Amino acid sequence: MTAASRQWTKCTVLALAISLHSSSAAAHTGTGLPGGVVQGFAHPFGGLDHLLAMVSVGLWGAFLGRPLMYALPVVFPVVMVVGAALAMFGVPLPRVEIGVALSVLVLGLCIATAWRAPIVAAALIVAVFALFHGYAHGRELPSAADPIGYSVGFVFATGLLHVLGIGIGALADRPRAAMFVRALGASIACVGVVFVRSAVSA
Amino acid sequence: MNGVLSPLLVAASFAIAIVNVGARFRALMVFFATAAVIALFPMPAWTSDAGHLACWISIIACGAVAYAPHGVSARFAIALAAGAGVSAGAVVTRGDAPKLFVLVALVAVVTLCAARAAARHVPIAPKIVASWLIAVALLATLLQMLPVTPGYLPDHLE
Repeated sequence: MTAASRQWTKCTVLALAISLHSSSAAAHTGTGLPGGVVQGFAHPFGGLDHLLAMVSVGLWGAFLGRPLMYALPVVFPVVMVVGAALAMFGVPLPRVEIGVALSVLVLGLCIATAWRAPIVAAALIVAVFALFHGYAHGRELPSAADPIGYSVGFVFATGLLHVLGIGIGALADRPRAAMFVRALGASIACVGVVFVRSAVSA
Repeated sequence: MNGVLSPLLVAASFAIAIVNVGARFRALMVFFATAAVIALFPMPAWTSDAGHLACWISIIACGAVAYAPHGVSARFAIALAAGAGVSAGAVVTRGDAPKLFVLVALVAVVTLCAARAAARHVPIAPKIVASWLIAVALLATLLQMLPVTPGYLPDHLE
């Protein structure tokens, strides 16, 4: 067994251990939306599903290089608004929670397998998941005490998570770090499996 | 919070829009002057929603300008500054006008300096922030168009 494959095995075991620890309760634990910039900014950091999906978008974008490295963090918030609009106007979208959970799983797999998707395919995948994330949060937004402030904080936190993902993904240029980033993708996918399981059984 | 945020976001969005414009200093002055003049006039209460809506439209317009591949002409930048100034001033006049105006001016100057510094190293950075601002403005516009607020809804995994 080579050093690289030993490292890969260790990372996979660690990822499985993390995924066993996570639960649906670790996703969003909010009790309604009190509103405001700070609350909106804090929300993505409190929900593992959104946090992992956002970081994954940045990570995958960094793997794919230009122009997707910059295009994906632009596509995501704009399509997220479309999803939020659908929710706010009461347009039904089935299986939203499964869509959100799948986003973590699929994006994690894309990173783990270092899939160099064509530009259109990558943008489409991210756009579809952005629609689900936007819908899930748009449904809650009008009930916030200060929806405008909340959305400002939320969108900027989402953007910063993308930037964080791009930052981590930039490490992938180095040979050993590439393995680390792919292992990180595998961990995210494992957590995604748990999210999908709990979303399906809910 | 809404009353404070919309003119501040207009200032930030406008500053990002003029990062690569040659006449940015003139445009900034026009923005300040227009906002100050409009803020002097007391607006009737019924124009409040229209003022905010103008701010969101202005943010979307400024965000779109940031994506113009060859930039925009000086004339267009001045016109954009006047539009942004009018919308920001219309909201500033309703709040604590002098303080809010200073805050708007400060946000515009700081954002312009930060965006210029960022654009030197990562030219796409101001555009990414512009896209976030567009997303926020679109959401705010939609919220304003909602006929009723559904009231309390549980968090999506609650």
